[in-house]
Amino acid sequence: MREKVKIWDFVLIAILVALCLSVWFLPKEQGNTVSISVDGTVVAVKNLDQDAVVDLSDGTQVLVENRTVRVVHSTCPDHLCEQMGKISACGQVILCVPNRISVEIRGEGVDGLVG
Amino acid sequence: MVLSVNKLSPRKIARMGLLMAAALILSWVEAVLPFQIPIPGVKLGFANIITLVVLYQYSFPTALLFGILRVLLSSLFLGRLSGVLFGLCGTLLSVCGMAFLKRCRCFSSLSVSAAGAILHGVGQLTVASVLLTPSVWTMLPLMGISSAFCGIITWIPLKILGRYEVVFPSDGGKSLNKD
Repeated sequence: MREKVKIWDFVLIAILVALCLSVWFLPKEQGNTVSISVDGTVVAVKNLDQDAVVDLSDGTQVLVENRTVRVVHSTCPDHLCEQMGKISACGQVILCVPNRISVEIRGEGVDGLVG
Repeated sequence: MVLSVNKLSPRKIARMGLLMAAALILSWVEAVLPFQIPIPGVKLGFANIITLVVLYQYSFPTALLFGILRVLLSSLFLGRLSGVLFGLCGTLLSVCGMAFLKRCRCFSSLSVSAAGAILHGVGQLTVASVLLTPSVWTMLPLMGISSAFCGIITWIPLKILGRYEVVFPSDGGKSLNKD
């Protein structure tokens, strides 16, 4: 256990972080709709242009306001989904892992990784 | 393999029990900390220190078994069964990756720890992309940076632990496997 930190450590960490960051540089487009899914099945699709409040059956509340979406109320124990804040760009997601809810911004009929 | 009964010396069982207890305490401490990182699945990962100790002291199969058991037990203790699949996939990927990097011999425990943390995040995102939506991959940059940071932070106590003979015997733990 008496090893020294080597130059390769920093090279490796830099490469891994750069790989993760590269997702950011993929082309982004403006989102048009927000789709809310429970357990992978879409339960609601809303247009971003119209402000709306979506109440899910388990008590989770999603707010659409000024083309941004956020979770305002959740029944999960950690409330991380509320702390994730607002999303507005295409491909962005808010997750609630305990309740298996995902809130996702989508572009015009485009589906997939970032678009 | 390491798991065969005749190789499980009483000493190893006792040590693994102690290490598991330490890992579970660390998971608990982390869960009750007043501040949390507001990204799902991202934690400081103190318990990973213990997985690293097991990996460096014993072998890859032992560390893998240890990691899987730790995830199962800590999610039972903390009542977070919803996250158990995420944790399992993350641990699987991170222990495999860490063992591979350790074998490469050109990396020290610093990058093993950081890469393990990043791979843990990647594993969780993989489960999330299958169970929830593929769009979770957009969280990869955020997750990657914070995981790398956490991996480096948790490496510091590992380095301090490394000075102690009790945790890391100078013979590289060979005596621990026999006996």
